[in-house]
Parts: sequence; C-alpha cells; structure tokens
Amino acid sequence: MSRRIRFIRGLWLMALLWGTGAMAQGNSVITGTLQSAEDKRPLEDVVVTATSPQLQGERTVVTDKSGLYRIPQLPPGTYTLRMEGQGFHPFTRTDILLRIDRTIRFNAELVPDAMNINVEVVGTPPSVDVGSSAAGVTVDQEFIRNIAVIRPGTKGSASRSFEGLAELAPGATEDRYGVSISGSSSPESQYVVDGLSVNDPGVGTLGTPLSVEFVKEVNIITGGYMPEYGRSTGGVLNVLTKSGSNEFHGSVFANMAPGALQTSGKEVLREGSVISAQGSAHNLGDFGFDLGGPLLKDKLWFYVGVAPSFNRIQVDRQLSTFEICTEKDDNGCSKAGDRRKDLTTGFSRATPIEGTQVSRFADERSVQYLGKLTYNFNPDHSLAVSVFGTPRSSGGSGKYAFSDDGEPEVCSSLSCTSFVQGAYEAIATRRENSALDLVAKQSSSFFEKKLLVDATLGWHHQADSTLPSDGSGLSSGEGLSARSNILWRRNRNPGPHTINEFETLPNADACGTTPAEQALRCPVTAYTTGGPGTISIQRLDRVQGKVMGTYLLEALGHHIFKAGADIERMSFYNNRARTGLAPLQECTGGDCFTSPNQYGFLEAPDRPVFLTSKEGTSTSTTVGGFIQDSWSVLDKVTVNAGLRYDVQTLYGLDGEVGLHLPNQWSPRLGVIYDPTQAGRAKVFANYARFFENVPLDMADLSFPQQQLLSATYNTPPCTPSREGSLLTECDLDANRRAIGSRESPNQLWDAQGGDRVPVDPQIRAQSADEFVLGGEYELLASSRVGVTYTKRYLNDVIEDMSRDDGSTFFLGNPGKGYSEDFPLAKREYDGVNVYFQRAFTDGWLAQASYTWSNLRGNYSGLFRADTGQLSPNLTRDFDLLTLTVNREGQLPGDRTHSFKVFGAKEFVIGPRTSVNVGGNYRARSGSPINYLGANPRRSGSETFILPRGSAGRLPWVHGVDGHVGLNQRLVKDYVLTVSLDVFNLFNFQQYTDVDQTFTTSRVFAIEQGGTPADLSACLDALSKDCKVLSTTTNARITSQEINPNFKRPTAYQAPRAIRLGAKLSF
Amino acid sequence: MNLRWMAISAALAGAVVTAGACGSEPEPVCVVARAVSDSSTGSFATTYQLKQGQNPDQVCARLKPEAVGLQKYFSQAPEAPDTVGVRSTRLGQLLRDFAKRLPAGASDTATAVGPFTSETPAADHFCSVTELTPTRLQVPQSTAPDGGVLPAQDFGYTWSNLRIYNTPEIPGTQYTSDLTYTENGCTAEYTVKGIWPVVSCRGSDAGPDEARCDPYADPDAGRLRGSGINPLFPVKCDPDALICVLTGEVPSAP
Repeated sequence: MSRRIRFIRGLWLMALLWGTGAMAQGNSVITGTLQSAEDKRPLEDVVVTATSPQLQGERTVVTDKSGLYRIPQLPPGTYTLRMEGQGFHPFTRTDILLRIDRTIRFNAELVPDAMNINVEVVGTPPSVDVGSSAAGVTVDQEFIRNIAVIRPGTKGSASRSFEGLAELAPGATEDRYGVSISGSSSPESQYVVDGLSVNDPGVGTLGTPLSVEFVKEVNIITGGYMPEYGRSTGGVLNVLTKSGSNEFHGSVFANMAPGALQTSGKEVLREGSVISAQGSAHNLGDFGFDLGGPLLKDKLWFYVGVAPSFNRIQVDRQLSTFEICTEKDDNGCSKAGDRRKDLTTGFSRATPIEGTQVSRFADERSVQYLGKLTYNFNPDHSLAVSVFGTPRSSGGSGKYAFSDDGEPEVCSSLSCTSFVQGAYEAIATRRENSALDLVAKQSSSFFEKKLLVDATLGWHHQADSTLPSDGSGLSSGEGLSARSNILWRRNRNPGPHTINEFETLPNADACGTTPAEQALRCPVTAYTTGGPGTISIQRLDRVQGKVMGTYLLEALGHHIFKAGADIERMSFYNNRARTGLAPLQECTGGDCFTSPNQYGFLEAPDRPVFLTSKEGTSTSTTVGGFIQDSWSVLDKVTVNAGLRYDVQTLYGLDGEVGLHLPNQWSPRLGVIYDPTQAGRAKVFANYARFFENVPLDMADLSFPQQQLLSATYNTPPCTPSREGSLLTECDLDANRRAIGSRESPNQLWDAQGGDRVPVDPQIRAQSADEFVLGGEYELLASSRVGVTYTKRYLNDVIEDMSRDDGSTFFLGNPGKGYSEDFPLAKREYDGVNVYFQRAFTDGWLAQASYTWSNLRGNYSGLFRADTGQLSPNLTRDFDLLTLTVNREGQLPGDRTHSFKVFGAKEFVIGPRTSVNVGGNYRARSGSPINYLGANPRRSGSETFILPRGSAGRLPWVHGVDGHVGLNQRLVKDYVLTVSLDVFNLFNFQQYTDVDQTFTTSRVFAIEQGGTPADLSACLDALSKDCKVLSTTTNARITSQEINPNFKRPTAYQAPRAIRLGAKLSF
Repeated sequence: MNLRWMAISAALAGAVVTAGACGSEPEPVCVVARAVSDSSTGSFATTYQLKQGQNPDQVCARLKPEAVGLQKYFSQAPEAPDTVGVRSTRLGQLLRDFAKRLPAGASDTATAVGPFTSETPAADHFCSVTELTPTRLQVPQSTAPDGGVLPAQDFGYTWSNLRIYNTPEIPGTQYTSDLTYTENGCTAEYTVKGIWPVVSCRGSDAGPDEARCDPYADPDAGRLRGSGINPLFPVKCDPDALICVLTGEVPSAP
C-alpha cells in the first residue's frame, strides 16, 4: 500500500512544517470604511481595534488610503470596535454581533478634535452580510435557550444532536435520515464541525451527532456558498464548538422527557394480525456538565464538556386470535367460515389472548464529550485543537436496539407490528455506533493581515456494529451467531403455520382445539426463528487536510483572493456475515427451503467454497483545489468569481481502482450590490455548480460484487425445525434440488458476484447546478427581511443499472453514455423564500419564513424516499428498465407551502429573576400520493400504475411548540434555569402517510394516457373501464384484488411531547 | 517563520501527497454472463457452423442452434487462474434421456472446464480459455423392458479456444469457440458463436416471430418491452430452434 504511505507522509510533512506557529480559529470578518464627519473624505491610518469576550487578546488593523479597514479571522461573538485617528475624537461602538462565516460591514464617521462632539454620529450595528450570497440561518445558544428545539423521539433527540436544528432554516424539511435542504436528500449535505467533515464515510449521513450543549453556533447554509465548501449537492451545516473565554464559565444541566408526560399517539388502524406490537415513549434524557476558562489569560483557553444520554422506548407485543363466524349476522359476519370484521373499518377483528403480552424496552445509551484548547501565540497566529466523540450502544439482553433513523429497530413511528413477526432472538440485535473526532485548526496572518493562511487537519473515526443480542459476536461459532435465520412462510399444503407451532400460549386452547381450527384462528404467514441473519462489524475513517490562503490586493477596488487545496481519504472496513452461514426461507408450498444468499463461491461445477464472512476495506481519495476572487468593483459592487476542481477515486476491496471521477470543475459566479453602501441591504445573484462526494457503501458492494450462493433443499428430509437437521440433511447434495436448466454448468447451486461492476467509460461525476437570486434589507435594528429564489437541478446522476433483469449490473449515468435507453435521471427544485429574521437583542427575537417550492423528477437522491432504502448511488431507482415506468412526477419530498414562525421574549420580573417565553408555529402542505401495485420482477410495491403523484396529496400538517424558562440569579454569578418545552402543544393528530398500494397483485403500469378513473372503475365488478391488468393473467384485476386499506392512514403526526430541563450556570 | 520556507514546504508537501493521490481508470475484468438458474434470464443462444471440408450429411454434422450455459468459477488460491465451465442443452438432455443407463458419477464430468489464460482481457478485448476438459458420455448397452437390446451410445464434446468478449458495452455477453463433436464414431469440427441472453421467439402460432427479437419496445404494436438483447447485436429468429440468434460476427462492436 505504498500509495497510502506516501499520502500519510505528505500530510505529516505539512503538519510538521506548519504546526509550530500557534493558532486561533474564526473565519468571520468585520470590514468597513471610515470617513471624516466634517467633509466626508476617507481617513487613512486610523487604528481600529476589535475586542470581544470570545476573542483572545485584541486585534488591531489600520485603515488604508480609501479609508477601508478589514479585520479577518474572527471567531463569532459580540464585538466592541474602537477607532482612534490622529486629530479625531476616538469612536467606540459596542454590541456588534458577529456570526460564524459572516462578513459585517460597519462604516463610521469620525469627528475631528476641533469640532463639537454634539454632531450626531449615527451608528447602530448592521447585520447584513455583504460579503456573500450564501442563504441560510444561524442558530446560536440564545436561540436554543428561548425556543423549543429538537423534539423528543426524533433522530438524535436523546443526546439533543445539532442536526435537529437544521430544520429551522427556510427551505429545509425533515426527511427520514436527517434534514433535506433545497430538495436534496439528507446524505447529500455536508456536516462540518470545527472545520472537519463528520459525514459517515459509508453512507453520507451525519456521523457524529454532537449535543447542542457544546455548540456555540450552527450555520445552516442552504445555497449560494463559495468554492471553499465543496463536495455537497445539498446544504452545509457548519458547526463551531464552544471555546472558553478569559473567565471561568460552566454549567451543570439535566434534561428529561419522562414517559408519563408524553401523550400517546393515535393508533393506526390496520387489518388484524395475530402478532401485533405498539411502542410508547418511556424515558429520554441527558445530563452533564461543561466548563471553560483560561489557563493563561488571553493566551490559552480550554473548554471541556461531558453529557451522557439515554433513550428508552417500551414495545408491547401482543398475541391475538381471529374470530371465525359460524353464521351470517349483523355484527361483521358476512357468512359462516369468514373472519368477523369490524363494521367501521372493514378490517378483520383480532381479539387479544390474555396473558400473552410481553413488554420489552428498546434502550440506547450514549456519552457525548468535547475537549478543546485554543492557543493565541500572538495577534497574528492562533491554534485550536478539539477532540470530541459520541460513543453509543443499544440493545442486547432482552432489549431491542435503535436503528439509523433514530427509531427502535422494530418500529416505524412507534408502530411495530410489521417488524415483530418472529422470535426475539431472530429479530433483535445489539448495536454500537461510536464516533471520535480530532481536529486541529490554525489561523495565521502576515503583512498586517494582508496575507492570511488557514490550515486544518482532522481525523473522523466511526466504529459501528450490528451483532446478535446474546453477545456471541460475529463469527465465534457459538450462540446466536451460529444459528441460521429461518423464515417460515408456507401458505398452502395445507396452509399457513399457526402461532402454536412457535410460541407457547398460557391457555393451550386459546386458538382452538384442533389444528384445523388453530390454522383458521391464529395463522402466521411469515415468522422468523433462529439468529438475526445479517450481522456486521464496521470501521470507518476519514482523514482530511485543508489549507487556504487569502491575499488582499487593491486594483480598481479591493480584491480578496483566496486559494486553497484539500485532500480527503476515506476508508470503510466492513466485515459482514450471516448467522449460521446460510439463512433459510421456506417455500410457499411448504415442500422446500431456499438459502438465498450465503457468502461463498463455486470453484468448480457444483463445488462450493463457503466464506464465514465477507471482509474487506474499500477506500476513496479525493483531491481538490480552488481559487476565488471577491472583487469589490470600485468599492460599489462585489463580484465573486471562483473555480473549484476535484477528483475522486474509489478503490475496491481488492485494492484496485473501481471508479475514477476526474474533471469535476465547479465554477461559481456571483454579484452582490449594496444599495445603501452601509451594510444594511444587498441584492445578489449567484450561479454555482456542486459535485457529490460518493460515499463508500457503493464501493463495498460493487468492487467486487458480493459472492453469493443459493440452493434449494427438499423438505422433508431437510427439516429446519428439527435440531441438527441443518447440519446433516440440509447440507447434502442428495437433498438439494436441481435448479439449473439442462444447459446450466452447475445444477444444484446458483452463484453470483465476484467481479467488479463494470463502469461506463463515459461516466461523469454526480453534480447539481444552482441559481440564486435575492435581496435582503435591514428593516429595524438587528432585523432583516429578505426574498430569495433558488433553482437547483441535477446534471448527472451515478446509479447502477441492469439490462438482464437484475443478474448483472453496471454503473453509469442513466439516460447518457452507454445507458441512453434508460430514462434521464432528473431532479429539479424551484423555491421562493420570503423571510424575516431578528437575532436575540433587546430581549426578544423573531423569525418568520414562507417557502413556496416545487420538487419534481424521477430521482429522490442518495436514499429512495419511496421506501427508505439507504444505498447511495445504488438504489433500486434505475435498476431495471421495467421499473422506471411512470416514475417521473412530483417527488415525495415535494412540499408546496411551508410556514415557519418563531418568536421569543425575555421578561424581567425582579432584580434577580427573569422569564423566557418562546414559541413557534409550523405548517406545511402535504407530499404527493401514488398509485402503486406489485411488480412481477421485484418484491414490494414497485409498479407505479399511474405517473408519480397522480393520487392526490396528503393534508396540511400544523404544529405549535412552546418554551418557558425561569432564570433565577443566585449568589454571585450563579444562575439557575428551569425550563419546560412542549412540542405539538395542541396535540394535532393529522395523518402524515397513507397506504399507497392500490393492489398487491402483480400488474402492468398504464404507460400512456392513464387517469385515476381507469383505476376507480376496477372497484365496480361489472365495469369494463378498468384498465389495470394483471401480469399473470393478462386480464383486468377483480375488485377483490384491490387493497381495502388503500389511502387509509398509516402514520400520524407525532403527539404532544414534553421535556423538562434544569441548568445551573456560572 | 520564514514565509518563503513555508511556501516551499507547502508546495513540497502538496506535490508528495498529490502524486500519490490522483487515481487512474479502472481496469477491465473477465466477466462471463451466467447461465439460467431457477428460471432466471440467462444462457447463450448458440449457433454451430460446420468447418470447411467436412461432409454435412454425417449424423454428427447436424448440430442445431440451442442454449449453451457458461459459468465463471473462482479459484481459492490467488495465483491460480479462474476457470470457465461450458455445457450445452443437448448434453443436458442426453444426460436426462440416459439417466438410468449411465454409470454413477457420469454427470460429475458433464461440464467442460478450462482456465483463463489471463486475469484481464487481452488487447483485442477477448478473454481466452484455450483448453477445456473433454466431456464424454459413454452409455453402455442394456436391455429394454420388452427384452430388446438397447445399443451402446457414445457422445463427446471437446471445446477449445473459447474466447469471451469483454468491454463495458458487451460485458461477457458474446463468445466464440471451436468444438469437436463426436457421436458414435462420427467426428465433426465446428465454429461456435453465442450471444446472451437466450430469448424465445416462438410466436402465438408456434412459428417464428421476428418481432420478439427486437430490442426496442413498440407500445403501439402491444410490445411493451424489448427483447433484452443488446441493441448492438444483429439477430434473427431461428425457424428450427425458435430462439433469437446472431446473424453477424463476434464481436458486434469494436
């Protein structure tokens, strides 16, 4: 691996040579021009000094010939500017609020000594960022203190991860794995903490869910950002952690959302089931402390924080029995032998069996920690080093684990019935998701801040595992790791299994006395036993190094040149196995079992070589560089122009190149005009191209493709229910069915995989283009109002496709190059945003936004929004030509209208007491609904009978959240705060998803000119206008084949939730 | 810290890192499109061309187009080459017809196997297997249930010079080969070519239907899907075997 060694050596070389200078962090800027109050001429050589409690020491610059001063590399905070010029009264301005990544322009007029100080010098600090056309919102601790954020029960809510804040930005909505920004999917966004990208190197979602307690500010950039931020086709969440200050400050805190105070959600009505389960919130909370202060005043600051958190959800599982009618009656019995139905819903009624309720907890434990040192060598050089991590584990020993979307592994929106169809051991797992990050950032300046250099070096590490609940590990050969997962799903000869075969009922006759009666009253059509199936141990790493130089130049105005380079190396070690080596699935006829995907290969005809696990490391190297100029033309208009170049290479498990993506040229061009010339308004336009950084999950699965074996066993003699049969009868060639045709070289085994997925040589990297147009105006002090229009569309999409029905795949751009016969992959977003923002000043804050948007296309992004399949660049979207029919239309993430209103006020009710009251109102219109049917070539509802979005829309969802906090000042600086957050105050219970499967029969899509009337006609048994045809019979479907649950709610809005908090700070 | 020294060191470090970090294009691999298994799509539609100078009236000189199955096998040792297995439908049918009369273990050697000459395609994009194990079905004489004598039978397939074409556009879905076929003492030499997958063009009237070999769909004519055959391959429906076979030469595209 000499390539790797050379790379590491290069990085160390860089670090050693740069690293002796001390560093500080911050990339915000205060700039402005000074003129004389008397004759308005620009003032040269005026000394401008900036100080702040968040800044080590002070920063001093001098104005140039045009009266311009520029103080860069400032950390966010509240600043005081002092201006001293010879022959003028000194001028001081306090309370200048500087946010992360911002450029604030503050102009002032100095009064000459000779004049009277009575001349009014107006100057409230401006808030418009005139340096950039980036759109978005900044959330700081003031906001978090005043507004109820991060609803309990959402992803990362136990630890109050900062990801939950992204939803506050206009143009952002919650999606399954995080937050969708400007129509993109959550894995497409970049999550940056202290300069290090903390995306999961495997799938692109957030890898380090750091608590908001340790965060100073989060900048949620939704578009229009410059080439310094590359490699994201979504948005950027830029997080700055707390740093400490010249005084000791800290806090001890605890938050809890007790289960007793949570309202239970509306239950989803569905067809009765013998095994059902429901989840309810039990307890969720975190506690901890943080402390920051000086080790050397104005030189060395430290900050440390620890916050353990826990999340517990109770899952109640119940067995029930159907009631079989003996005769027709008016209470739900249509004839003898049928199940009794509920008259209002039409669903079969299932009566709970006493004594069969089993409650288990889904438990998650996590610790968040952060340690940071900020060293100010001198006003020109500073260094910050941070270490933070979020080790997390869940499940095991009779409990359930939590999955990637923040829910228990057996539940979806607390509805757990679909996932508990089996024995506990076969379903539950023990999981770990730990993250550790190490970042060093340096800021240096030279030549009186004319040349700036910023360098960052960081390492992001994740250790994830999904293992059997009994702790038997990956391939120990003991316990559950050695037991095959068996799926029982016979439905004939004689019929489905009964619950009595798998579980012991307290009353043996609860389902009936004869097997025939038991089969009618307690059938189970799919039940799993054995071990949990696919288990894995993963280690993911990212090493990142960035260097950026800024040079100031005067030529026809002021130029700010930036140039930078960055290198990123990701690696993904994945060790995956099947418990018991071969999972088994019963054939529906009950006469055989299939092992569909055992790891292994054939070395000769019907001579298998089994692999105990699939183990390997895939890697990716991305090198990028950019140059940009921010030119203030004649100091009137700012033109931002930049160009970025990236090249990414993915290496497979064999160390060979799997995918090479050069020529990622991303131009950026923007114009910003400040009509007030005083930092109080701007009008801007921006064009940018962004490229995706392909996560490694694709390389792990494609280079090479997994080697899988499949065989079918006759039953009897292979009888998995009998102990020992799996090792004897189920392992004999004599009991394997011949599944090959006459010409098949192997008769008993089906083998797939082993070769690298071929790549279209004309493949282009996935990219998106963006246009932003907008304006912003400072209405009142610290309050801004603005309008932006955003247009985003994808240029090329990388996806896997198959021409042979899914046996072999190739990678390419659908619709281009080699795959011109596939439809073009499209995703287009248009959004108009109207907003008002006021940061917390003078005791109140307010934010309001309305977004109109339109998201259409046939590709939702790095995960399939229709099904939740998280498989970046390998989703099923373009797998087969037959699956691409009718897929274009309004995408699931399309929300036409979205309102967000936030407001908070602080009331001082005594000399030592104050109360914060905050609230927000959110409303959004619903996503589109589809007409789906089953597909002959793929499992699940994969046929879009009519084009996407034809079945109407889900309803509007409204929510009101409230926050109340009581602050009591105790002795000295100690403040005790007690708070109450209420989410969904009025407990609105609107439905948020419906059953979109029109029929579970395999049907053809109506490819041209279909209308909803063609489908509703099928409800009428006599109508000939029904155009839905079954693929098996080629005839119209019958009215019995229509799903009675179609368009009925399957999920509801999260009910009212309450969180209590207490904090003692000093 | 001297500015010039820092600039030099930066360039140095950058060069070291960049030199090692810019990748290259992926190398092609030898893919073999798979045979039908469990009713999947697959197998090669194969035609046999009798080589020059042989008597076409011999009993062994009349092989018809049929499906031939190929499969790539992986070797456990990293240095040992991967192999390819070949079996024809006729051979599979013979195994079934004479199942009761063949000695035990006859089907074990029914698939001809040979090693790849190299891991990656040659400059002409072909992956070659020069020699494969010969297959011999020797059916012994036996008595019929009614007392009559069933004579001995002897069939032999010897495949050689198997060449599988591999480019991103044609990923192991075309092959050519030589075949020496023997049947009861008669020997014939063939040139073989095959395309993937096998598509049936049996019409509703049990005769050939050329439209089923069309790779493009024709919704107006009621054909919602193409045949699944690569549009680069010129094909026709063979009237005897009723499968779509190649009319041109291999490879169909450079």
